Amino acid sequence: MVWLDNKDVVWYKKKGVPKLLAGAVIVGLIVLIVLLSIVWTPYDPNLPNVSDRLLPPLSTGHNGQSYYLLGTDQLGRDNLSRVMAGGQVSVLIAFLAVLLSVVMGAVLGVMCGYFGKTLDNIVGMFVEIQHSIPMLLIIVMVLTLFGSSTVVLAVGLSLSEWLSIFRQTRAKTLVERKKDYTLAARVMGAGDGWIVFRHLIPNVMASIIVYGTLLIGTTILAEAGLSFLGLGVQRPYATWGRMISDGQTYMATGWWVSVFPALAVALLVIGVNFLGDGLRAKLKME
Amino acid sequence: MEEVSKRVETVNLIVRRLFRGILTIVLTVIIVFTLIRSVPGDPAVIMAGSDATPEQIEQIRVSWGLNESKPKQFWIYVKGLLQGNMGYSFQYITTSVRSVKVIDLIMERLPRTLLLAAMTVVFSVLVAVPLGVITALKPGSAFDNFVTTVSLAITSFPNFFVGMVMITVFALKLGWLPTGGYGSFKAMILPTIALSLRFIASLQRVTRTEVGMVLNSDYIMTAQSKGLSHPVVLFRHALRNVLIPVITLIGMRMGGLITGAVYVETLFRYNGIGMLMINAVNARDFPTIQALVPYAACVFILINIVIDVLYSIADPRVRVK
Repeated sequence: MVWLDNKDVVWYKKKGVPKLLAGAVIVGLIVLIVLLSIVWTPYDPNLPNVSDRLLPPLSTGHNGQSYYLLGTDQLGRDNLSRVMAGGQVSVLIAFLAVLLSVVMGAVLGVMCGYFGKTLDNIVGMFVEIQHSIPMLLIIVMVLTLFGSSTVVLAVGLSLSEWLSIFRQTRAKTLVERKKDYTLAARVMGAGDGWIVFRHLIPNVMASIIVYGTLLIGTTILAEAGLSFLGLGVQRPYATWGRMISDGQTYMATGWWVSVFPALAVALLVIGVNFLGDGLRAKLKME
Repeated sequence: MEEVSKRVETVNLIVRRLFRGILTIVLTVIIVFTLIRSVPGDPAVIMAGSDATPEQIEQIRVSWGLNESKPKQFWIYVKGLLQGNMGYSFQYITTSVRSVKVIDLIMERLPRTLLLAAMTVVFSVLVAVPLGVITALKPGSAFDNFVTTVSLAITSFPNFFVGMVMITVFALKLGWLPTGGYGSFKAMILPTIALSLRFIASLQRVTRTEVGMVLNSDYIMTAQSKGLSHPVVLFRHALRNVLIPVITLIGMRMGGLITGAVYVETLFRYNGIGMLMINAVNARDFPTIQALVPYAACVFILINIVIDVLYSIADPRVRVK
């Protein structure tokens, strides 16, 4: 997320709104709404209604009773309910993929940074190689061959995204292991395990959390992209990416079908990036 | 003497990059082979598709050596890749005529994607570098804030959605440009812009940071104090320094361009390798898939090596490492 570098969002800083808070509120609200959709949505997100097809936002249904805040889609399904429920899969996959990336990237990053030498060289070579492999083509292949499921998607996305976490953790570990406290611990007779788990990991944790948070945005966009290609998870509800691409045909006549799920994605991405940037500032990094 | 050692260093770098590139391609080939062969079930039946006749299945079994041992199969695959003999595409089978060779299909589509990528790089640099310079000259100005906000907004939406909006506005509503397809320069405008947006956002940021740093550096101050006027200082000294991070970013983004091409080509029905990949995947056209992925990797790795070498020529400091 190079382009969302903290210091560059000047307009935002000037108004003096704490970024961390704004990010937390946006992300918190979206996650709450998505969680709410598991137990309650205004209408059934999957129930078609032939007489209420492609109604614009803020319109009343054919029966004079239903009210569609965000309009209806091409099959007359309530857009608001679909946007709410559509977040379930997107958020779950993003969360799982980032968790996997963080575990993989952090463990290898700390080990490579701390032990260096052969391990670092081998892993480093694989990382460089992976950087130039067209991962999307491989993921597309895997999803086609083995079918698309939440787990396959999460693993695939994390495999293509753990590199950033690895690089950050490794770089941070290299700095930390040269500091005096590491030396002091060693002088006092601490072993590698003790130093890694009691000293290095707690100290690199801040940067892992920050970059993990920033990775959520990338992952959500990547998942939406795969859904657009028709490779996303379908059940139980259409994901945001799928909704956006389904609405493609109706962009000229019913923009709301695509625009609202796209807004949901964008808001969540902005939210997690603010949260990440805010955390970075708060934890006094860089 | 210095000339010679400079040349030796450049050759060294090329050899190193080539070696890593070959390693990458080998690994890609192994991954593709392993993935396709590890699909549960009889690979010949799966690869032939649901409506294949027993003869067709048998033909695949023989031509791909599926009765042989795994290493032998791998060898057949690698030999096919090297000879450019990757069989026939399943997508264009009309009854019994297998008309389109995979290699011809790829050779036809690859230049189109490369053209799109080249146009994207040129367009992005032409837009992003001036934008970066202007915003760096007056940080915090209204224009600077405007650019930052717009790029934040655009990069937060899924890229394909931004492309959809562009189609709706410029093609459907205003009717200025075609909605997609391949063939004319006009049809390439929207895909190029769509593929450029993210690139422009990051390129502008890097340029802005670099120019800002250079403008505050001692040697620019010296040049200015010697009486050199502002534009001259900027172009003679500052832009030369911006070149290096710009090349780095282009190199880093090459992979992103091939990824982006898959989405953009699908959206704009631009018939390049991105769309070929998606069509092949949807048609379960395995001969095309197993050839396309390594070939695409090959081309983009080669481009990366070229950029690396250019980079080492632009910045002598790189060669030392």
